[in-house]
Amino acid sequence: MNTDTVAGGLARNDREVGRLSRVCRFGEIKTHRLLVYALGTAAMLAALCVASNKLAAAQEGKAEPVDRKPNGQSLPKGGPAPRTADGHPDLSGVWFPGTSGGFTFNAAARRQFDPKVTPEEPPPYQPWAAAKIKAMTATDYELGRASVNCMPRGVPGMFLIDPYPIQLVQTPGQLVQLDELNNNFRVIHTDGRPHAQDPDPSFDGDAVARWDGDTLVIDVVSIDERTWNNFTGWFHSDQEHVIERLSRPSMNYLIYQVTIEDPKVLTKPWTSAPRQYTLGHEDLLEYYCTNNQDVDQYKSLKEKESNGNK
Amino acid sequence: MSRKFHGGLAAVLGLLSFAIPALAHHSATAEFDTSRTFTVKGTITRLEWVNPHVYLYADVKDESGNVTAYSFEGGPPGNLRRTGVMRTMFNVGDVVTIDAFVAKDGSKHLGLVKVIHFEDGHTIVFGSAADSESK
Amino acid sequence: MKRHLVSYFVATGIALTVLYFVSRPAGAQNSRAAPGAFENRKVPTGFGPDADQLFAGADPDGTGLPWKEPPPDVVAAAKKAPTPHLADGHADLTGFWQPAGWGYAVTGGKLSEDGKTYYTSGRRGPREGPVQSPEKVAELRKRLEGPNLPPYKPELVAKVKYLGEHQTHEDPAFKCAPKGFPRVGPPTEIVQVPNEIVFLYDTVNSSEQNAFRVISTDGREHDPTLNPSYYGDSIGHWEGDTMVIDVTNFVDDTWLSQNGTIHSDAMHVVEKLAREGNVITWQISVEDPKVFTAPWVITRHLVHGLKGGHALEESPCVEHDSGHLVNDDRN
Repeated sequence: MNTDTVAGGLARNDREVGRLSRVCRFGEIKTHRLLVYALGTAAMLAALCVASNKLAAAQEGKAEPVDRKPNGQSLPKGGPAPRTADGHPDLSGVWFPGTSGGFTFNAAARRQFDPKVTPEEPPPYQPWAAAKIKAMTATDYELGRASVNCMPRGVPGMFLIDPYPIQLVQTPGQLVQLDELNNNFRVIHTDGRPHAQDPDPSFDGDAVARWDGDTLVIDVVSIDERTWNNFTGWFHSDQEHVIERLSRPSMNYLIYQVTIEDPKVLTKPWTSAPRQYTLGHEDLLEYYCTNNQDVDQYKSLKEKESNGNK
Repeated sequence: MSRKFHGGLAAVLGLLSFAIPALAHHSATAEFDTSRTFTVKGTITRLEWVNPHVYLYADVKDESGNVTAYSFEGGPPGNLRRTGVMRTMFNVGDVVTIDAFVAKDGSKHLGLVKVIHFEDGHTIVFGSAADSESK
Repeated sequence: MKRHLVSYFVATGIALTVLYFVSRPAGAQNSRAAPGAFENRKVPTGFGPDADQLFAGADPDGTGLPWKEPPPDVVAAAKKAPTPHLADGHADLTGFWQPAGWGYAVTGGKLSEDGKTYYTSGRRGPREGPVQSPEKVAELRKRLEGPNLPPYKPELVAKVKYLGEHQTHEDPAFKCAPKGFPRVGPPTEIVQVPNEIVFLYDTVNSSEQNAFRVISTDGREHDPTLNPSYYGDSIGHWEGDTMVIDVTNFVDDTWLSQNGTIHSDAMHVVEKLAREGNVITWQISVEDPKVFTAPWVITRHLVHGLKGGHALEESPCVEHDSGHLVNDDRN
């Protein structure tokens, strides 16, 4: 059987589960998180210990992580979201895109939104931008994709085109976002400061945020023009202005919605569907792009393409 | 490259230090001859704002109209930012005259940027006033 | 000196400044910034020159490492501040820990009197010239032969020396591989919450890439099923007022410094942080029974940095020089 494997991770907002893990720790025990939420405390203890012992036997010596949610079960809401002392929702946690709280091969569970329920419009490109994208070859797409060239996804790419988890750490005055992808981070200022004067463009931009009720509204400018907003050529100008909205409607769910304004590239602002993330009980893993041979190969391809067109 | 910035910093605080932290990628002398410069006028075609060195690419047209692509190396972006130089000060399409130090391996179209002159009369010197006067 | 500059800036830069602000709608970004705007530019993160910038000589203790140590009187003064604590009673390590001697102020730049020329350096620094100066060569040699270098086994000393002398060709970090821990050095910024501590690193002192580490402080053990990593697997616990972090499970293809200082997959680092006032005493003890004869211990003081400062995003690393290097001159 496949069960949820947890690389020693513990729920940061659930001290009870933390205690359970310590109780059931016999070396490399993997605990079953769904069971925890489903059965209640007493049953949790029993089920965890039993499951742990079985897993220890089954997984000893196993090097590869198994699919954590093969049946793609969506996490339940999990009760109300925790709040910080100042009354705002606490967005802290490790968040996986989709609804399963972990990696899964189930496409539906990996999906951040259902287009039938919350459709997302295509980006409203200005004609010149649409033409430029249309003229891109397949090789151009590959060379421009952060997943190929190993550049940071940036904002909002780290949410729109990133299958890897992020971690949010919320403390008074700032929200730190850790990205598993390429071991990157950004610090979002929530202390009321304005944007920096003329910041140097960066992949994550200059981000300042304020609460609008229970939604954190993040305003981002000065985003490096090397970022794309999708994998099919959505480039942007230096005038791009991104407004992100983060909310945590329940314990297990984080919702991200972004509006992109770009008067040089788009005919009007574009707003994403609300995209779902679910609370994971694992730590981020280390991810570095250190052996990327694709770029050189694509560059040779591109040269051949260009020469062929002469 | 970053040695110059570091030198300024140290002077401000009355301390002298030759040693550069790991920020400085390599010694300038491993790649460039800072006693020899060359000058070209061209149009900026691309900026690569990366560590450990920013790169500025320019197309230079000769008298016959032949265009050659040049690349110019600068310092680390973080260092440049700390000295007040932002990427937004350089734009694709800017017509510039660049003084640069010669590459030691004979690459004719590669240089270590020393001074960039812009058409509107403003100039950025990657160094000090004393540096820019000496040749 | 400062007053002269101010009056010159006012006299020559004001038109450019007005133009600069007027042409920028709120929240949007102008694509051009001329030197005339320099005088009004704060450091991008919103804080400016700080009198507390602490610079001491690099490599003060002969370890070959670039991490600076602030002057003792500065450390003593900063220790006198009250020590913040979290609700659980432990010291709060949260803060921007002025990376071992570097600040974020715009300190190097200088505008000419006519406002047309911007110099990245306020004064003439020592210029390298076509070849490295004898002083530089001596300094580099000193760094390879200092009294507190890692204690390598005798049979490895020659190899380490060779790698250090040919660093620009041999150093994996030269070609943008992550520097890893502990080469990345002390943290630039720390965020401490009840069950974990987050260390953020930016380039100023350390890697030419952004990096973070999450140190679990919830009492867990190491997870040996994790893959070896550049930054290791970190678990921390309090011993009195000292956070003691145990770091294991490293890849073996990083160096500990620029000086060819290799290690094996048996490396084990104990990292300690103790806060007193506005000072963190940071210490690493690097053990590696496969390459060392004894632990290598380094201590530094970190002073709480500029108010409002944060670790900054660093530009990605792309290497273009290696094809053009003509010798082994290193920095």
